[in-house]
Amino acid sequence: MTGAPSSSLGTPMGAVGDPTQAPTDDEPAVLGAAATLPDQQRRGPMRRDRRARRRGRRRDAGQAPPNTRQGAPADGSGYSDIEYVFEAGATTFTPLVPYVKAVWERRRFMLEFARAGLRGKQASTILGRLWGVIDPLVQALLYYLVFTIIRRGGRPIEFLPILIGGFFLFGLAMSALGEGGRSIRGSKGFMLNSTFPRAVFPITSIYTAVMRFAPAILVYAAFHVALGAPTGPQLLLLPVLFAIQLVMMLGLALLVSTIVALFADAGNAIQYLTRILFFTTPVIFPLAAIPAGIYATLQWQPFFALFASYQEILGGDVPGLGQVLLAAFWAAFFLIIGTRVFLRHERELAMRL
Amino acid sequence: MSVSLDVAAEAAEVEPRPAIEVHNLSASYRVRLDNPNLRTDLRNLFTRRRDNMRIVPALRDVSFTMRPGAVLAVIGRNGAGKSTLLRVLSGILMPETGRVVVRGRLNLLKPGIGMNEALTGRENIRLGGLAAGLSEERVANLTDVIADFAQLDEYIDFPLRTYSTGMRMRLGFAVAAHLDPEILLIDEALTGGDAAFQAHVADRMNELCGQGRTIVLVTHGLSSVKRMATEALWLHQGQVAALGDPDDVTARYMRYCRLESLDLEFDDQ
Repeated sequence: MTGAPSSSLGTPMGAVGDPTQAPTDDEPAVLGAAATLPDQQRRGPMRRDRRARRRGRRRDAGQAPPNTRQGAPADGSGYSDIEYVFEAGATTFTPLVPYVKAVWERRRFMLEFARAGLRGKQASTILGRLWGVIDPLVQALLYYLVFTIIRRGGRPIEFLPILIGGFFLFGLAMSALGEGGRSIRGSKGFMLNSTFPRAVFPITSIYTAVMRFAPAILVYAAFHVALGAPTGPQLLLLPVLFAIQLVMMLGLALLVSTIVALFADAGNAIQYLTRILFFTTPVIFPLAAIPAGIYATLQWQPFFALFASYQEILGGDVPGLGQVLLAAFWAAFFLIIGTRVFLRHERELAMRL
Repeated sequence: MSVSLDVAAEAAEVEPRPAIEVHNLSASYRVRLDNPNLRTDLRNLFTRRRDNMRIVPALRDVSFTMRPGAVLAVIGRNGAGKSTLLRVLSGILMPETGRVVVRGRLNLLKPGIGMNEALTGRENIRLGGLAAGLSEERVANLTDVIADFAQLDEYIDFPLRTYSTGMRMRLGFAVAAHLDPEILLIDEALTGGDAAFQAHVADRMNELCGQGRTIVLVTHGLSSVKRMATEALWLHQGQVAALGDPDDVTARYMRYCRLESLDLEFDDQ
C-alpha cells in the first residue's frame, strides 16, 4: 500500500481521498437520478441537532428491528415506510417496549438456535444430552460420599435428595454466568453480520440451559420418590421459585454478557465467581449447619435466599415469605440492572469484539 | 401556500426519497495489540495505561445518497473499509461521526454466518431463514426452493460438517439470496463455488437487481460490478476515492492497482 491513490489517477469523479473534495453534509454525492436532501438539513444546525437526537432515540433503537417505523409506503418508491437512523451517540437508550417486541418476534429463531447449539455440543458424544444430568448427579453423589463416609456421619440420608436437587438447580443458575456471560463474545460472527436485537444471544443461552436441565426434573423426581423424601403441598411452591430463578438468570446473563463483551478480562473471573457462589450458597450444606453469625451475613448473598427456600421445600418445610420475597427482590434487581446495562451498551458491543 | 404544498406533493410523487443517505460518516475499531495474559490484564485493571489499544479508523468522511432501486458496488483493497461500511449501514456498528438514514426493510447478506456444523443443510436453511427474520411459513415455503438453488442434491440432508468449502458457499449464498428485503447489503457473496454455480449466482443477482431492490454490493469481482451495478464506490483507506459510473470507477481502480503492482516490482528491484 502506498498511501492514498496517486494523482496519476486523474481527477476524481465523485470524491477523492482528499477530505476537502469529499462530499459534505450539505452536498452528499448523489447516486441515481432522484436523490433529495432530508428535511432537517434545510433547518438551522442547532435545531437540526436536537431533532436528530430525538429521532435517534425514537428510531435508532439499537439494532435494526426495534428502530423501525412501519406503515404504508410514503414516497412512491414502493418500499415499506421503515426508516432507520444511525448516528453517533451510543449512549442513547433503546426503547424497551419495541425492543421486547422485536425480541419476541425472534422466539422461534431462539428456540432453533438453542437446539442447534445443544446438538452442536453433543454431536461428538455418545451420551449427548444425558451429560447434563450425569454431571451434577455424579458431583452430588461424590459430595455426599465425602461428607458421610470420609468425615464419618456428616450428613443423613435425608439430605441426599436435597443435595441432588441443589446441584441440578445450582448448575442451571451458574449457566447464566458461564454460557450467558460468554454469549455475546462467543457469537462474533452473528454479532458482526446480523441485525437482530443482541439480547437474543443471552436469552438463547438461558433457553439452552433450561433445555439441558429439563431431563433433570424427571431424574430428580425419581430420586425424590426412591429416597423417600417428603412430599406435600409445599412442592407446589417449586414452580414459583423456579420462575424467580429464571428471571434472575436472565438479568445476570444480560449483565454479565455485557461486562464480558466490554472487558474480555471479566470472562476469566467468572470461574472464580462461580466457585465463591458455590461455597456461599446452601447447596452442599444444610441450613441448620450454618452458624448463626455466618448465616446473618450469608443471607444477603443474592443466591442464598433462593436456594435456602429450595432446600426447605425439598426437605418438607415451607419457606418464610420474607425469604421468598428476598429471592424475588434479587431476581428483579438483576433483571432491571441487567436490562439497563445491556440496552445502554448494546450498540457498543459489536465494536468491542 | 396551498400552491407550494401541491408542488411539494407533486415533487414527492415524482422523486422518491433516497433509500440510503450517508452523511460525513466516520467509523473506527478499537483493536487490542497484545495477547491477553495475567500480567497485562492486571496492569489494565489497576492502571489507566492503554498503550496496548489502538483506535483504527475504518471509514473517514464518507458521504453518498442512493435512490430506491439503485445497485451500488463497493470496491477497494482489503482493509479499505468496505465491510465496515455495510455494518454501519445495517446498524451493526455505530458511526463515530456523521449520520446514516436507511429507508426500507434491510438485510445484510454474508453467506454462511451462523451455520451450524451439526445441522443438515436443510436445517441450516431453516435456521438462516429464521435468523433473517422470516416467518415460519415463509421459511417452510422457501426451504425447497433454496435447496434446489444450492444444487446440493442428497447432500442437503447431510450434516454441514461433511460439506466442502464450495458446498458451504453454495448453501450460504442460496439462503442469503432468497431472503426478501427491500434493501440488500451483500458482503463478498459472489465468489466461491464452481464455474457452473457462478453462472447460477450471476443469474440470481441479475434477477435481484431487476426487482427494484436497492442493493449495496461489496465485491472484488470487477466484472460483476460492470454487469450489475448502476453506480460504483471505490473506497481507499476508509475514504471515498471515486464514486460514479461503474465502468469509470472500475477503470480507475484497475489503473491504480496496476500502478501499485508496478511500484511493488520497482521496490523489489
